[in-house]
Amino acid sequence: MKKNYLLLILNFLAFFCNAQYNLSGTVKDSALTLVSGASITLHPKNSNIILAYAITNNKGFYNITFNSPLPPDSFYIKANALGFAPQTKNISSFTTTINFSLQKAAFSLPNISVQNTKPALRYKSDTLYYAVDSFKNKQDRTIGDVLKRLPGIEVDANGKISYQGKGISNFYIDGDNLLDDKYNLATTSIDADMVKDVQVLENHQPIKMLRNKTFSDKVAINLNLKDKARLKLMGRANMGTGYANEMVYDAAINLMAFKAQYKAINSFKANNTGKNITTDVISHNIADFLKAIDNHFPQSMLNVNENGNPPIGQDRYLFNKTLLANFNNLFTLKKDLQVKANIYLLSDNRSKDYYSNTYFFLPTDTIAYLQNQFVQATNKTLNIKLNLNSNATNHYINNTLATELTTNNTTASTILNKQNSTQYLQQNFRQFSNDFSFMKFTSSKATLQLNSYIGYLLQPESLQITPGINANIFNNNINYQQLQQQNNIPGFYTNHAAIIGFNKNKIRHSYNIGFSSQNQQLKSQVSILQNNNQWQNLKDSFSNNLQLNRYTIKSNAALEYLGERLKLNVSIPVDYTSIKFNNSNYIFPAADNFKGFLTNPNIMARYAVGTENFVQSSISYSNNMAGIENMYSGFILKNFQQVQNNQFVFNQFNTFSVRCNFNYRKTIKILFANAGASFSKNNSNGISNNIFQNQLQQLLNIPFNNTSNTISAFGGISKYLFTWHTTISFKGNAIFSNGFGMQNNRLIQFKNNSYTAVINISPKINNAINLAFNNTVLLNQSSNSLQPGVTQKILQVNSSVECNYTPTDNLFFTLRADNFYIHKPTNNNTLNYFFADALCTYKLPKKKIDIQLQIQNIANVKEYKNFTINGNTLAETSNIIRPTTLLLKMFFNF
Amino acid sequence: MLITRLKMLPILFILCCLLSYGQHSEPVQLKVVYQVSYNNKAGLNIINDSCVLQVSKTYSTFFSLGNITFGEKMKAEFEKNGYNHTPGEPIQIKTCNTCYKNVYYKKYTNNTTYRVASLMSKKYAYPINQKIGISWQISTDTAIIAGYKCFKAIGTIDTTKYVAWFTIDIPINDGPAFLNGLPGLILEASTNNGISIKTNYLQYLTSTTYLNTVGYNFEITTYENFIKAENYLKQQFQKGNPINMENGATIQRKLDQ
Repeated sequence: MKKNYLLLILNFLAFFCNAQYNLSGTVKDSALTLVSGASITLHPKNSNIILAYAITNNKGFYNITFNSPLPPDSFYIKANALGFAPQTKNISSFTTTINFSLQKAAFSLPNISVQNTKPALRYKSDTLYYAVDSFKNKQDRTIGDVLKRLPGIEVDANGKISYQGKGISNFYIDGDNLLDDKYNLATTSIDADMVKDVQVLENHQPIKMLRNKTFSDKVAINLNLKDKARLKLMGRANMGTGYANEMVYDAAINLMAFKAQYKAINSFKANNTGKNITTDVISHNIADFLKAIDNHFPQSMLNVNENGNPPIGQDRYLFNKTLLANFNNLFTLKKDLQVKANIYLLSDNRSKDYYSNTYFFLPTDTIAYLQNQFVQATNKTLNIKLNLNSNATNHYINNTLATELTTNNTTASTILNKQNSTQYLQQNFRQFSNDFSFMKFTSSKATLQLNSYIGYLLQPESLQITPGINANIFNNNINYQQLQQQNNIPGFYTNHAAIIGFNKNKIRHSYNIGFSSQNQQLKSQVSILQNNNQWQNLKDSFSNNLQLNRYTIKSNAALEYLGERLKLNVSIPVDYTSIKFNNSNYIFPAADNFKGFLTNPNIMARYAVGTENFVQSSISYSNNMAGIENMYSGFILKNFQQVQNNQFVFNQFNTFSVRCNFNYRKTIKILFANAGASFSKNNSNGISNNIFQNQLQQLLNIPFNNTSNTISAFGGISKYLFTWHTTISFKGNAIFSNGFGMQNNRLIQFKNNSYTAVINISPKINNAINLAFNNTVLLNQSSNSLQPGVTQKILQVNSSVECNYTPTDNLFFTLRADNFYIHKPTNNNTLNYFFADALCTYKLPKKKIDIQLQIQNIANVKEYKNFTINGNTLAETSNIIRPTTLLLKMFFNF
Repeated sequence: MLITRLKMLPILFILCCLLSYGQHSEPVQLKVVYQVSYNNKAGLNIINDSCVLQVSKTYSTFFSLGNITFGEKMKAEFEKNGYNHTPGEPIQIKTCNTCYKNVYYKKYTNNTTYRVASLMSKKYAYPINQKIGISWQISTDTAIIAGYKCFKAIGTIDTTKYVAWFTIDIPINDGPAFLNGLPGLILEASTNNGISIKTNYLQYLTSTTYLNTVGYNFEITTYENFIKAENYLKQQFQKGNPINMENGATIQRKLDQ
């Protein structure tokens, strides 16, 4: 910059008061031979800027004329020729002869082989460009393989992509939003060789009208494809078969088109190898969507009390038969007008065999549930989403019509404390919705936005338990055949809003007025099948019939400051909520009402401390009311082990949270770092009381004001080392939480601390060998007021190493080893599991066919045990692991 | 046969006006491999070519290696017309195994750039300085290219704007194709009509290294004489007269009956 100013000043002065320099002379070598073709350059003192230049002719002569008002001692002149050492001389007068005598010198400049002239990472206008070829390894097949290795980017086990610790909001393919937030299909299908750049769009605003008018801290990813990907339909298919105690198969076909007018990824996949293809239809931003439509959808209420999944790769323990047909087609009808259809049909059969010992440590007793369960679950889902989108700089229209039909059938055979039972759960969810959004400029250049959401949800569920359990509770101590719980929560949901926003200079202020409604009904009934084959509905406390009408008038005033360095957003939503509650159950009055104001203010500020670094802070307060699934008073049998009911209607809870984080990036050095801390305080007027009654637990929500707190600190750093062709990343977090629980009417205060450290290194040893190391250390500590002075601890260390060897361009070997170490210091229990897999791929020359041989679980580990702690609860679980699997696959590209 | 020979006399006369004969070979001191790309207005890659600049003490030669790779746009056209190739693989053609295209010869001793062209399988070089001369403006913009600090220079010929990045660390008044006239080697260049030239490889060579002799076996003539001879040959060809090539072959246009 200083050099530019200097040159500018020189030129400026030259314009007004020029003096002409006329410099000439000859260049000879030490043997006084004239040197032709030598470069003579004129520079300002203490700078290498070239003000004028000449090249010596065949007589070694040069001549430079130059206009400048500055005195001669402001410049120097330099002679340079190949094979000679450069020589510089000062200038003594405006017209002078300067002769050079160059000394011969050996070439000291290195030979250069430029592999890739494009920088691996560059930053321009809020967009970060990762050149895929710079990060791609030979064995990488899809863009998802490369994404995992990009510094600053993280991909979790479910395929969710985060940049600098923040989940991405949109995933575009050549600028088009083909898959919404179900982008796993793209990352597992698109060939890495088809992608030119992975672009990270910072401060991303998907609505063009609002760009540069409002601040967004969202991050999106765009895959910038190579020309060859845009030209024709592409396909990739694989077929494989093998053996793992039974015949296994894995087949997939992907048909893709990425033309400007038509984009599509249509796939058909089926396998029983433990590969979870349902991740292709995971909505990564479902929480953001639900927050946007601001409606409380009830969760399913019945289950078979299945344990959680072990913290190892799903392909190690998943026994499945899955079939997924997934169609995604986007048509660009004209500029800024697109229609899109996303349809998938899923059939997923899973089985799980495990045992779980759960201990509740009470002051006078320890309650143990020793459970052995075999679960078979079938899920069939049809999901259809049709979208029309017109996203232009002067208007925005978006309409999404969606429906989802889901049928779940689950059978669980259980031995709990030596008592056998079978549960059969049926769920039929039906969901229909339409989401409309319209935006345009008013005559005064304000932005006017209209949003409308209408949804209908049906979720009938039925749970049958055989034989009849807990006869003392359900049938006056008389044995019976079967226990059944049925319930349904049909609901109609709407949310309409109008928002007007004004921009003036760096200030934007916007006002929102809206209306939302929820009309829900909860019907539930427990019934038993007597030994005489007669069904009998249990009365009174075993049934519910609720009607809930919730109406909210919403208002919001928001103010934004859009400075160069400082961005500030203050939002003060105030909602007037009216809830009419009608319960035909006998415990509560026939009707109850709630009317009142609920407010959820928040403040967010971001300050750019450098061109690539910023500090961001936010403070928010939210005030919410629990949904209908926390209002019923009659018992609902959630599973064979738990019944739940509520002693009061309006469970209100509020949360105050503060968060501050610092993001650092140095693009030229490919260095990313972030650090931050957060605090949240939750107040609730209700608590769940867990009452143990023999084999049954009653979960009773009772009115009780209580507070829980969570403090967390987090940080991460990611760096690409050019010399070693290696990405190194480290992240860590510490979470401290405390709160209250209740068991057998006794209040328990608990404290949980958790510490996590993760390090990833992926060095490229040479062109043939690259490695990937991952090490995760997790320490959980838990203490509670029932066991003063006792702190339960569990340490887990997960290490994995992957070695890829490519001896020729056609042959790839991969060896992967995972080690899981679990230590419980309290009883000095230590578990250690070692898994190993191998993969060999051969590309048939010029045939576009790959042959792959895969061996999974070489050591044939048969089970995986794990410990979890929470307050005064300790759970030991053991899952069956998939046996050694040999799989031969063929991949076809067409 | 004699008549045929007699008809070639005007050509021999024209070429008698050669200014000088073929150049003696000098060891190559520096070899630079450039990647030359041509993109259309929409930014789609049409064609890629690898070219070499060989710098000796008193002259340099620049030529295409003849390994043309077609870009996606051209590939699509080929595919549309039924060209059979392995999908996903680049379409590559070797334009000529023994001859070299786009050859430029720069003689440092008289600061002249020659275009080398073939006529009757023989190579001739004619100076193009009078036709192409770029007046460069050096800016203060700098960049690191292939590890060398480079300065930006902008020049114009007719309506074509040239942007060149040169380094004074390699003090050679040379560059790709006919580009030169700067106090250092040009490592990158681009034009406003879609041509982009980038350095892929740069090697200093020992003083005894001789590379292939492309461009050495030519005779120097003037531009005007070369055009006259070329036009005369065209006329003869149009008339259906046989033309004897240097390599012994004869070509003759079959006239319509």
